[in-house]
Amino acid sequence: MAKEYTEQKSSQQPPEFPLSFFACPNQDCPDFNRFDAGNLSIAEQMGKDKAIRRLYCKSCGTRFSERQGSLMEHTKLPESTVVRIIKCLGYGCSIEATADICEVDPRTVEKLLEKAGRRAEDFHRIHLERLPSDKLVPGLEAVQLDELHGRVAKEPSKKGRHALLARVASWVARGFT
Amino acid sequence: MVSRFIIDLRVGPRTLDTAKELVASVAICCGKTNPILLLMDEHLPYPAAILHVFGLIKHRRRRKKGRGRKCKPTLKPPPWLLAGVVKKLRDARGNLLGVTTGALFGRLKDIRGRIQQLGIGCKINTSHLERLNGTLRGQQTRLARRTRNISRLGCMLIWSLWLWRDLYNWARPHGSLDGCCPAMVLGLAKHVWTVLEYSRYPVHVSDLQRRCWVEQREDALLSALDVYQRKKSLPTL
Repeated sequence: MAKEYTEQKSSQQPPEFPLSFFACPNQDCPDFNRFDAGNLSIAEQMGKDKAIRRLYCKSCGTRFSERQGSLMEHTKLPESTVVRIIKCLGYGCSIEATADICEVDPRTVEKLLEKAGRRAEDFHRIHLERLPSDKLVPGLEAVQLDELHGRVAKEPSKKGRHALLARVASWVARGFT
Repeated sequence: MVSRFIIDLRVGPRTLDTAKELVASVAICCGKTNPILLLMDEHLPYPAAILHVFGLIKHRRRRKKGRGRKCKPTLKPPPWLLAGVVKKLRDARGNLLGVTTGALFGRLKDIRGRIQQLGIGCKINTSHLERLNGTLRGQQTRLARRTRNISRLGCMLIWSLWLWRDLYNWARPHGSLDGCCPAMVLGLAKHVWTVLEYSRYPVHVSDLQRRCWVEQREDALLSALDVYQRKKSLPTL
């Protein structure tokens, strides 16, 4: 039984990515954000199952987790769950549906969506800079523009005591400014 | 070859400011001085937004016989910019009667020739983007028609769209691209990424980089007229 469990556990472990997949996150390092620069080595294994590698940058001497800058950063969820949540969100499942499918709390999905959204913008901007935009090597030559109509619910108007307090506070503040 | 790469998704009202932001994203990506072909529908703010971002200064002559006040300079489209418009003709009830095309900036003949040269079609069209809109509506319930699953918060919609854009560009093989993803066609990726790869990819952005991006966008949003009319600072001792 124990053997089966360990086998199952080892098969569930995510694949290890090569060191060329990572870059130094230290902003003061000369090799900051340079992939496959040959400056990284594995310092130690950490985490509950020793599945997370701590990397060492030879250029600046920084040690950092291989999860830094990824969607797994600061999360206690297993990687498979994070991937499933991202897949659900990528195919347009609602937050409640995603939470139900992945068996997590809806607030966890909300937090992950926020983190993933902000990171997606950074990821996109970083890669747009790598597009060639010279006259000799044209990158994008034709662009189509269009609009898409969508709706966002109106913010609910505050009712009751809090609304009254807010109104009084705004009135007082306006009176003093 | 058509790459189907999504450059930007902007969420906002249908105003000139949103249009300017969108066109500025195109300018950041392609460069303000590179020859480019823009294809769009007849959304009213587009011409003004394109002129604002890509336009050059047009100096005008004085009025009759050199008398009177000097005319203020305006903006003119650059000679390397080609822009075509798809116009939909509708009746009073909104039913579609037909579709016509026209040139907004540049010659119609040049635009058609460029479209055929790039292999986007035979005439001015926005078919690729209309198809993408269909995919987006199908894959994001928040944007589906006649749905009650709309976003309660605007930021949630933006984050979902940004995430979807990245997955579409990097992690979805496309039938019309021979199983490649849009990033592969542009040479940014060597294979179609898995969601695990995307999730584990480390994204590090320095503060300096962020400031550079903000400056880049401000520069892109600054028209040639703004630069021309900017007050020069007096030399100080």
